[in-house]
Amino acid sequence: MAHSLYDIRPLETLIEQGYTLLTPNFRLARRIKAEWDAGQAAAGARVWQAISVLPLEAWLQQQWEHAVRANAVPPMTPLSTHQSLEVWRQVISEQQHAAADFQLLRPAAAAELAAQARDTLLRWCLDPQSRQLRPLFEMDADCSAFLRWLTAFEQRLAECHQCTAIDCLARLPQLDAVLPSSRVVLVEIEQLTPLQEAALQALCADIRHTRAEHRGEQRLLHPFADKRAELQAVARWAAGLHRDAPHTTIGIVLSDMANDRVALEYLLRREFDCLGRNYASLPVNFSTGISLDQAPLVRDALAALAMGLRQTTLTAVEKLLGSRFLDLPDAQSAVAQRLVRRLYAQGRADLVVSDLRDQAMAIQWGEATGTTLGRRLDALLAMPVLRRKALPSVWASRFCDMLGIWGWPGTQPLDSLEFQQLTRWQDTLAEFAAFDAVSKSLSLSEALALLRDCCRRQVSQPLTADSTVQVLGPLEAAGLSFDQLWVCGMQGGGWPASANPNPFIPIALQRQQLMPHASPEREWAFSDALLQQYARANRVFHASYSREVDGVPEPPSALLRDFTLHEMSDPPAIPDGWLERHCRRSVEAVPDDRATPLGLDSESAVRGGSGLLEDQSQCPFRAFARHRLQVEPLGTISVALPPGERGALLHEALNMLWGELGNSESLLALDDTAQARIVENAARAAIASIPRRQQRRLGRAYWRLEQQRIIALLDEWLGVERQRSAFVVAGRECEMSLELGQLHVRLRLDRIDQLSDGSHVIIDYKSGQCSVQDWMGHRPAQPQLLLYSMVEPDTLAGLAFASIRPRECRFVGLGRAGIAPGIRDDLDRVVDSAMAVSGWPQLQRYWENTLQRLAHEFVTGYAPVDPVTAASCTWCGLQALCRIGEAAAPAPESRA
Amino acid sequence: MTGIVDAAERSAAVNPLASVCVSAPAGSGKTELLIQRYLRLLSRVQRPEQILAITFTRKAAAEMRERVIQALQAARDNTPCDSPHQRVTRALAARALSADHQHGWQLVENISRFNIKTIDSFCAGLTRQMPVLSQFGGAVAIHDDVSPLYAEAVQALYTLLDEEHPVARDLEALLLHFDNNWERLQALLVSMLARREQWRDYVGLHHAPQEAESYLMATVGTLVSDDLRALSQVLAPYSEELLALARFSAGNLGEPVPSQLPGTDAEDLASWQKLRALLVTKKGDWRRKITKSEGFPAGRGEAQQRKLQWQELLVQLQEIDTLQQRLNGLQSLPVIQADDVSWQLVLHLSRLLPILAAQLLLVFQQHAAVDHSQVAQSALLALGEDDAPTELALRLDYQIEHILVDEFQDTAITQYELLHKLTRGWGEHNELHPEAPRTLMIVGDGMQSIYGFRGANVGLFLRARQEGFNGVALQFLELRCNFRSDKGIVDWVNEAFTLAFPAADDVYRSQVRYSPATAVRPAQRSPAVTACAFHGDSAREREIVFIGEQLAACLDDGNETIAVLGRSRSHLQPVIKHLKQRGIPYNAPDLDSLAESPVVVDLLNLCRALASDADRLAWMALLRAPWCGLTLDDLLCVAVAGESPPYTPIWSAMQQADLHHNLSDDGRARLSSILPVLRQAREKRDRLGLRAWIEQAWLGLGGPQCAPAVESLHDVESFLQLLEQAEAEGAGLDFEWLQRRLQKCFMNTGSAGGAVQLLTLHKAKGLEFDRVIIPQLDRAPRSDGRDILLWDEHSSAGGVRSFLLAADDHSAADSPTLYNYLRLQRRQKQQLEATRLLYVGATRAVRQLVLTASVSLDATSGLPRAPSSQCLLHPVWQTFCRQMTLVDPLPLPPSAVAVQAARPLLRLSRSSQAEPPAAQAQAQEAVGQPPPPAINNRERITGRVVHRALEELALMRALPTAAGTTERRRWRMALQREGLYGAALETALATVLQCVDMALQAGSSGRWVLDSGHVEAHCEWPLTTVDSTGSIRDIVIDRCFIDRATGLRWVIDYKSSRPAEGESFEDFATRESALYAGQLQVYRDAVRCLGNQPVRCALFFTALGRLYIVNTLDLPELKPGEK
Repeated sequence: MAHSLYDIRPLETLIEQGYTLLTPNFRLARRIKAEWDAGQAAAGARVWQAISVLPLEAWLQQQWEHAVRANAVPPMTPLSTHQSLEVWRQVISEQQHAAADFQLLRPAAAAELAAQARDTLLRWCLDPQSRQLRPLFEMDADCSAFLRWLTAFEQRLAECHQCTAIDCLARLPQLDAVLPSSRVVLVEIEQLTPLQEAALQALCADIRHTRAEHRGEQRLLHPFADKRAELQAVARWAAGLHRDAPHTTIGIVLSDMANDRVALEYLLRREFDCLGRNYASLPVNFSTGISLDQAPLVRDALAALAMGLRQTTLTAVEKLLGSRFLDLPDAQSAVAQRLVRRLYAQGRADLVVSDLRDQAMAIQWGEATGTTLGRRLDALLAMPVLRRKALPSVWASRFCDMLGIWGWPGTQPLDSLEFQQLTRWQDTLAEFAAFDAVSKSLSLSEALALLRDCCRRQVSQPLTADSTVQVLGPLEAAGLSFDQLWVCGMQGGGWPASANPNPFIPIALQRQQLMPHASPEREWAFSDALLQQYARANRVFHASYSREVDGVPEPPSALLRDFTLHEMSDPPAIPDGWLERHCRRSVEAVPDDRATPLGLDSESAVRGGSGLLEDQSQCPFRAFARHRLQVEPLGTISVALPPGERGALLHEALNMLWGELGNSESLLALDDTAQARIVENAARAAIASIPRRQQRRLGRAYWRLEQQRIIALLDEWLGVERQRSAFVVAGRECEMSLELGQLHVRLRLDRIDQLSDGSHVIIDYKSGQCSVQDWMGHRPAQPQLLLYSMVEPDTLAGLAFASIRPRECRFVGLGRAGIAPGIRDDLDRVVDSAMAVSGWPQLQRYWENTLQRLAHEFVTGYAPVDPVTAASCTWCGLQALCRIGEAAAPAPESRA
Repeated sequence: MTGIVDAAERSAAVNPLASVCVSAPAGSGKTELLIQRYLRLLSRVQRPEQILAITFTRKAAAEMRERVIQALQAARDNTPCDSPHQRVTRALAARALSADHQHGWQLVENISRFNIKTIDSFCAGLTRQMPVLSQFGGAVAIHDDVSPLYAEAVQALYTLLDEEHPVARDLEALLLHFDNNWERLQALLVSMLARREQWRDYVGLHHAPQEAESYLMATVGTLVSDDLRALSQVLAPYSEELLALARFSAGNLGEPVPSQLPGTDAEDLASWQKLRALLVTKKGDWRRKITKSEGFPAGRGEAQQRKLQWQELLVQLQEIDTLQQRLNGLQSLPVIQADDVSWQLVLHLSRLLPILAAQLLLVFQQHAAVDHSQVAQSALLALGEDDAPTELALRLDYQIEHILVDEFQDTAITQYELLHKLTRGWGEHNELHPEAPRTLMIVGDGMQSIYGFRGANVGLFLRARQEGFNGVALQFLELRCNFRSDKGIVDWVNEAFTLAFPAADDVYRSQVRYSPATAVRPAQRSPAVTACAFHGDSAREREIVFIGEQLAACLDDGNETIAVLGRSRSHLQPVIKHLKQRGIPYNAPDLDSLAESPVVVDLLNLCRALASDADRLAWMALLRAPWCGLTLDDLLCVAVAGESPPYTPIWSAMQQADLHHNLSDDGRARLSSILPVLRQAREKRDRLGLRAWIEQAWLGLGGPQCAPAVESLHDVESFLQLLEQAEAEGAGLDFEWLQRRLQKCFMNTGSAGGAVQLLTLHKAKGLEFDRVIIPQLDRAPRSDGRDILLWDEHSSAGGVRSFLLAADDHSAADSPTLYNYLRLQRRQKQQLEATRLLYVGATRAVRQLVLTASVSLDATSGLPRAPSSQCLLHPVWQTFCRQMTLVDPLPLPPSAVAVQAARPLLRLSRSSQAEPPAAQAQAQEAVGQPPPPAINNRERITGRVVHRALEELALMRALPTAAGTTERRRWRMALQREGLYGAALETALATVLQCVDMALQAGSSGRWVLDSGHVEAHCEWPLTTVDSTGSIRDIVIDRCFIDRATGLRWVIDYKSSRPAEGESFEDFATRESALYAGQLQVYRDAVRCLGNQPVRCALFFTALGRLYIVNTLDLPELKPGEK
């Protein structure tokens, strides 16, 4: 049996006398009740009247309810905090529209501050509209804006017979003798606000104060190098203590719960050995958890609902497909994977849902057509009500219908945490529906935003039995007693906190009235009192701090005056287990740069024409990975058309253009107008060849501009072509094939020109950088044209890149003299001396040998990681597979 | 020790009645001075918050605060102090301490009272305090890196293209000009957004397009005429001769003969350029001769005379210091032609940028997050315009009386403006209260201004010094003592940098001159500065080896601090590689991005594979990684397994039986060992914390064994901590997020205890080391090519600040476009900054400075060639050259020659591969199917209000026959409170009233149930009970009482259910009582202990007004004494 977390012995007589116990928070109330009940049960009682113990504010709220029933105050509908924030938000944005002189970046934040300011004023029984206070508020822009909003807010509440929770309390001081007077004990309540004071005076005949006996024995201060070391030490300490003395009650207070909870939870799991198998049995209670919208079950529900909107993202689609909570039985099928990869290839981060639906319905692979995802989306988009505005309660039921379509929460059983989250979700949906009280009709996206907001305000926290180890926030620990309490993060910078007055109440007034966070003095007094309480209530009080936070040195809090300094060594940065396993490792280095030769039967499986040889030349492993393993990186996301597709578009336009022109004679015959017409037609036709749907994805302007760009580029290019001697375009986009040893290569030549002597020039359009150096050496960087040169070697007059780049249009090539400017005939100067060739026939033979060798390498499975230059890796994208970065790492110390 | 030559300046700096601008070169002890003044001021204020100290970084703020506290503590404890400046500090601290006592500040304890802040946190504080004025509305998340938001703003701008927005035309024109390359323009606009404080005021939201155009025109005009005016002033003494020569030349060339020298308007530029041609050649050298083509024909008489005249004049002009530079500057001055492509681009941009800025605000709004620049801007906004300043003292609750700003040379324009706003009215105040003036202290060192790339503008420092703020003049104090470095180093720095820096300060060109320092420490080692140059083949390798030798020797020398400082990390990497080879321990924090660590690459890949089945690459890579290490052949088998390669997810393929059949034995064993790990990881998705999930998978795969070295395990830990952070921030497994963060985290290179520190020069600022080595001085940074946009701040000679921008118009580099002008300006500024960067590096050294470079020799003279103008060596070349040791090429020691290793497959040997995890308790905790969503909330609410209504009735002294209007109103409110409105509310209220009516009907069982005449009557009775299993339970009993007539204790539970269609009441009631028997039994057992009365249980059906007694729960009466 765990030691008591609160000693109620001093309270027992008062409880028996029927006093109501009032606490600062629910946690202490629950704790006192639990202690009392345990005592009763231990004494052998079977049943007893539940004791009356509750937080002061809740009790006051109850008194208001009684007053309503007694018809002592007019009935009102109290709004929840969240609802009243919504009213504030509406009021502020209405005021904003009316004033039109400012536009707040975060009206929601202003709403929170305003709500807080109004509450504080009510708690301090101050009326900002009064003759004394009003001028103070009107002195500056922020406070006077608040006054305007306040008037509108109160008017709005009055019209709807609504009120806030504090409004209810504010009624109480006038209820002297209306309700039967109570006897109360204030337990561990250090300070009362003026309103609480007044209300208690009016309602109670007998008010007593108690606080725990002093049980503090020891105060220790532990410094650590940094926050991580500090959290690690706490976790280790808690686990050790728990192991040695399982009944010791341990409290851990995190100053910065929001930022440190995840890290501490992990570290506790590590120390308690609850990372793997025992994951569910961590004997620690956290006072808070993740917000409900982040719970996977709810997160996926919200994501599924969001598919009702017009737009989604590629990442969202992938997450849906991976969800355990949606009924998408074929999510892992080949056809679904094909869909994902196609979406990546399209390169758009944002997707239009209807477009996604169409693609997901139409996608095919093998026997399968369409995916469940497509059918779900189709059903969803078929709900006409999604486009109609409605009140939250109506949306709540629509949301259920929508989730029904998705088969949420899935077909697999839920674990107990998920089950709790599901219940939580249902409550939240009900809470959302209650926003009818303050909302107007909402569109789907507004309704979803509100629902998301409701979920964000819910905390999903695993319900676990009371554990001996509790992790709490600083205020939650107030009043509790542990055998050992450890407060983390007690740097001077945070304890006491800096003053943080509410900007909507004149700051001098706040300071004078001792309102919360108003001044450094007030913060000091508050933190000091809190620490005194910790010290009194806990047997051993540990405080720790980091000497450095984010690289900035920090002193310990000056509040820790009477602590004994206790240096603990910083725990090791990496777990011993890792180190130990690392030391035991045995790594082998296996030569593995050759795969089984390409079998004839699997030849058909090898894709790629000339690109294959380029890959083989650039890096044999790349060729192997792309063409035999069929591995490609998922496409990268771009804001416009991916570069590859842009290149294809230009190719198509040139294809169209020369299809129309045919030869140099007709080009030269064109006047400006005629050229303009023909160029425009080509550009237009090229764009028209792109499917409509795909065009829509980028918007009209993109294509309009792209067309203009292509026109300008074609014009510039024709300027280059006009300088050539006569030619006829003998072939465009010619498909051919070639046997290179065992390899059957499919080719697609951009263009073949026939010159007046009947010889040929093979032309490859390029929109990237190119140079004839790309054809040189043992491993040419761009071997395609060399490959093409083998198609009809005897009539070949030259090879050329048509480098079609804005402001840099030119031919780059090799061949006989006089074909075109840029096609060089001085082979001896161009050709790499290491190749030891002279003259065109020798060069052609050299190339043929090179290509034969590359093809042979590929076919025989030669696949070492061996990029020809460092630049080969720039656009490859396969680094995770080829592990080229590994060589940069220190070599393993032991090799088998 | 030399005397303190600047003692007078130091004491003036602490004078609380004066505002001062302190120029504090490296090593001059400026922090001490700041602290002294701060302490001095403390004794003059009412509240410590009234002194605002602004530092450059949070770390500097913490340090300053810490040192103030230390001084106060030392004064309190009266610890001994000996040096003169310590005694000064002590005396000031003692005075501050007595002020502290007098006012009860408790400064030593309550450190939050120190108003020592970075500019960012000060601005953030202002916006928090003024949510409406700053237009934030309240706390906003401030992010260091908001580049994704910038990109989003640009994309939002792009969507305007299809919406016929007026800006679409400008955007289209720009896109077309840049080849419709959306990505590229986006990248560019993103970088402009990141620096928008520089242009926002000029092309910001408030300017109409026409205004923007005339504004830019005027700016260019001023810029040109400023230069012309300066030139004509220089030439004024020679104007007569010049005019005569110009007339002669024009006459001969058949051009209009000028009657006077050109004026100084922008349109006079061409005439000046003609004049220039008489004096210097096209290339910019002084002319040696003048000929017919310049209008000076050969011949005797006047021709000869004029030539002589020309020669005389030229001799005189060559004497003028900056004249040649000014004349040549004429060639790069921009000439604006309104219809120029380049000018049109500028106009398009000036119209587009305000819209872009507005889009960014919308994006900020959507994400509720902003950048620091927005915070500063909003803070300025909150402080109000000059004609309507915000009452700051009222908002802060204190008047800022004194401001101290450190590192003023790194000030950007927003900071400058902020200071301007904070000091409004100070001049007037000081005139009225000379005895209690408000004061300002700015401290900086123009020579250490190295953050130009971030928008810092050293010109602002010069300007503040000259002009002061709002009538507060600053007394300029120049510190000269250097307490840090030995005399040898100080002397060398004086010599080298006097030459390297410009000769004079120039506010408008952001130039500072060098001010020499006086060493306080005597000379020790000679020479203190070593310069080494290497040449010939493998000079670079030799240089690195030399550095290695130097470091090795230093380490033997003893415990001195040693640092190698590089301009960028690429300058340090060869050194690191070499130190690794030599086994010299080093520490290189923050040098290599974590993303490059091989173990992190594998982990990231594991994450990708677990996140997406479609990521074939990630899955293949997973199988190739050391934990599995499949060979190429086995990978091939996997690639073709399954029915539909390449679309079969590898995960499915891995489980195919035929695959296992086809694999090699080794491959099969390897695959089998990781299969269960991956299966488990997939099952645990979303069930474990993110970090635990990935870590467990990694451990299962044998991750720790795969790490090449212990340091890599630290990289793993860093990566996994990043996942924790992703979870804490709610980002989840978001690869973009991860990639961005990874870039900002650093690998563990070297060991923290390493004796040698490797740092970039920027990082070294503010530090000192006994020995400093700066290698590779000859290496120029990678050229930044032609940026498609350039912009710059500009100050006119009249002190008016303005802004210029230009887009790459694809013009030739020497054409006089605005773009080329800005490009030239930028290059010059970069050169100046490079000089300052080297100064920062050189002044880090306490005892020894080693500079090394690789040079090339001139083939004919055999002398080293001057290095590129962009490298660090360039500015100090003269000094370096004179004293350098030129090291001849030598063969490299064998250790320095890199060996190209073969690249085998590295993998865990089978024996150390993952043992398949012990068969886990596979049985999932099955809770069964979830209940249907309880959206029928309405019934629940109605039921609750019915309970409440019945309770209210039961509490009435006399039971009414019908509900009154006040009750009805209350119940309506209660329903509303639970969230019912509209039709639903009316239906629910009707149900409630119907139930109440049923209960109140004369003679109904309801009236008996609710009768207040019963004994021990309770409604909604909370009890705590120990149930049959021994656990404590809370229960609430709807109604409980003892019937006087029968003496029975009744336990009644209210139920709102109704019989199904066609169901008889009896059947219905039997069914319901079976359903609730368990619950009732708990109630019965509980109340049974309260008295000896026999207990009877019943259900009261509120919708029917009928009571049903559950006889099955009746118990025999207890005999007295039995329990």
